[in-house]
Amino acid sequence: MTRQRTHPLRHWTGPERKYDLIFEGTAAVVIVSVLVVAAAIIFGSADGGLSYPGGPPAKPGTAFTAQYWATSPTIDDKGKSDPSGGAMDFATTVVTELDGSSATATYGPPFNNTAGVSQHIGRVSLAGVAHSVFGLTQPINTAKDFVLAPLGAVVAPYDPAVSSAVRQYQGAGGSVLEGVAADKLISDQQAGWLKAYTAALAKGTADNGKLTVPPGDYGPVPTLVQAELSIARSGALDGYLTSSSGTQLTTNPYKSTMFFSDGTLWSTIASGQGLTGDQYGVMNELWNYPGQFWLILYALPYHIPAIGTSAAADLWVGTLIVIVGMLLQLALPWTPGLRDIPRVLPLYKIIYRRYYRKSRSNT
Amino acid sequence: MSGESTVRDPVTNTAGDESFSWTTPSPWVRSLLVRNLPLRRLLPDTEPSYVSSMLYTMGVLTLASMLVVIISGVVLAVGGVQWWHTSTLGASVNSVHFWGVQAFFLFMAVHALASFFTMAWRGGRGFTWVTGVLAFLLSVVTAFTGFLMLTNWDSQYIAQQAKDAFNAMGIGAVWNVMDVGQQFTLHVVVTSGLLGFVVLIHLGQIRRRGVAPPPGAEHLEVAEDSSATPVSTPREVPEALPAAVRRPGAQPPVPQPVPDRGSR
Repeated sequence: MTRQRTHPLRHWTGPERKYDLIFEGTAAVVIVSVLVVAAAIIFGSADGGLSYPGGPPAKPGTAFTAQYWATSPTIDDKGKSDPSGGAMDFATTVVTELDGSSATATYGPPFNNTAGVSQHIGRVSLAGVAHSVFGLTQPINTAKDFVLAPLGAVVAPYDPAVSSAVRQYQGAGGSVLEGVAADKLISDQQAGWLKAYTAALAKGTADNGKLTVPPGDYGPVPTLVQAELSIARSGALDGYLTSSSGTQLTTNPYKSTMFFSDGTLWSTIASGQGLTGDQYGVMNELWNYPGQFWLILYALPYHIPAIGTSAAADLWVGTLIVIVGMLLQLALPWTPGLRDIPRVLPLYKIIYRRYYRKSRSNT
Repeated sequence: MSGESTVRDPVTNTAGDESFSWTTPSPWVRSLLVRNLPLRRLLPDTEPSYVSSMLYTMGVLTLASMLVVIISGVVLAVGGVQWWHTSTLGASVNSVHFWGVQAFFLFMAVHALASFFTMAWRGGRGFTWVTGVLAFLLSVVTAFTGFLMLTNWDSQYIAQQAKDAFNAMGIGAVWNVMDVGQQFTLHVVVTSGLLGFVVLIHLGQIRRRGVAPPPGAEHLEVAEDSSATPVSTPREVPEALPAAVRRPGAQPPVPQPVPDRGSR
C-alpha cells in the first residue's frame, strides 16, 4: 500500500554536528531555573494593592472594598484633599444605582435588558447574538442587589427606621426583577425623590460618614443612602457583597466589582497607578513590575483615533485581534505578501551567516 | 491490514502501513506513531550544522521556562488561591511563577520572530507554524486567566476592564472574567491543559519534520523516498528482512541500525 504525500518526511544531507536532545533540554532547565530563581530573589514580585495620589496607605495585596471607598479622601483638581470625598462619591453612586443611571444599570447584556446599548458594527452586535442565545447570564438589578437587598439583610432586622424606609421605597414601585432594564428600575414617585436628592447631595456634606443635605421631599431615600453608607464604612456591606451569593459562599464577586467600578474613586486609583487604557494599562499592570507585555498587540489598536473614540471600540479591537492576531497569523505560511516579508527583509542571512560562509568556502 | 509476508518491526510489531479498524485500532495507532515519530528523530545523535545558533535555543528555553512555570504553578495551586498573599513561602513561589512567565514569553517572542524571519514553515512545515501560533494564543489566554485570579486590586481592575471586550465579542455571556472561581478552573485545568497538548503536538511536528534548512539549501534536504513515498518507507521501519529469516519459526533478526538523520 502506497500513498503519494505532498510533503514526505525528509532528511538533511548537508553538514551535521553532534547533538543530544536530553542534554540540551536538561541544560536549558538548569539555566532557566537559575535565572528565574535569581530574578525572584533579587526582584521579588508585586502584590498590587490600593494607592493613589493623596490616598491613604494600604497594605500590599488588598482589594477594593466598599469600606475603603467610603472612608477614603479624594483630591480635587487643585490638589486639595477632601476627607469626606470617598463617602460623598459612595453616596452619589448609591443614588445612581437606585435611579438606574449608573454605568452598570445602563450596561445592557449580560447584566440587564437595557436595550440598544451593546456595541455594534453596522447592524451586527455579537453581544446581542449572545444575549439571544444565552440570555442574561450575569443578571444585576442595581437598586435591589447593591442597595435594597443588603439593607434588608444587614440593617433592617435591627433598625425599624431603615426597615420602614426599605418597605416605603419598594412600595412606591420600581421593579426588583433581576436584570430589569434601567428604565424599569424606578417609578415616577421614586424618580422624583431621587432627582431631588441628587441635587441636594451635590450641595451636601458627609462629615465623618454623616450625610447632611438641604431640606426637601426625598421620601425614604436619605434614610436608605445613610444606612448604606454606614454599613459600607463599618465593613458590613463588604461582608454581604463579597462573602455570600444567595446561599453559597461565592467565588464570583462580579456584582461587587460592577458596583465599585461605578464610583469615581475606582478610576482615580487606576489612573494613579497607570492602569487605564490611555496609559497602555493592559500591559502595564503590577506596579513597577513588567505586566502582560505580550498584550501590546491588543493595546495598540485602542490608540488609533478612529477606533479609540468609537462607541464600539472594544468590538473593533476584538474583531481586529481575531482577524489579524489569530487568523492571519495562523494562515501566514499560505498568505502571499506576508510570507514573503523575510525575503524582502532577509534577516535570515545574518542568522545563517556562518552556514553560508562555510558553504561558499567549500565551493 | 498488511499481509502475512509483510516485514514487521520486532520491537513495535508494526509494518507501518496498518489500516484503521474501529474494533482493533491499536495496530493503526502504533503504525502511525512509528511512521511519524521514529525514535531516531525523537532522540537524535546529530543535527544540521546550521542549527548552531543561539536563536535555535529559544524554543528549548521556552519549554524549560514552561516547566518552571508548571512546577511553581502546581505548588501555588496546592497552597490555595490566596496563599501567596499571606505566606512568605507562597510569595516566594509566586515570584518564581511570575518571573518564569516573563521568561517564557520573552523566549517565545524571540523564538517566534526567528521562526518568522527564517521562514520556518517551508518544506511542508506549515502545520508546525500553526501549532506554534496556537500555543502562543493559548499562552496569552493562560497568562491572562492567571492575572485574573490574583484576588487583589490588580485582578479586580483587569477583570472589570476586560469584561467590555469579552462582552462586545459576545464571549462574556459564558466567560465571566470577574468570576474568580471560573478563572481559577480555566487557568489551572482548561487553558493550561490545552496549552500542554498543543505544545506536545508542536514538539512532535518539530521532531518529525526537523527545522527548515537555510534558504538556498533546500536541495540538501531530500525525501526519504522521493518517488511515490510509501507509508512504510525503508527508513521508517526496519530494513527488509532476508527471506531466510521469514520462515516460520525463524528468530527475528536484530534490527539494522538506521543512519541517524535526526534534525530539529
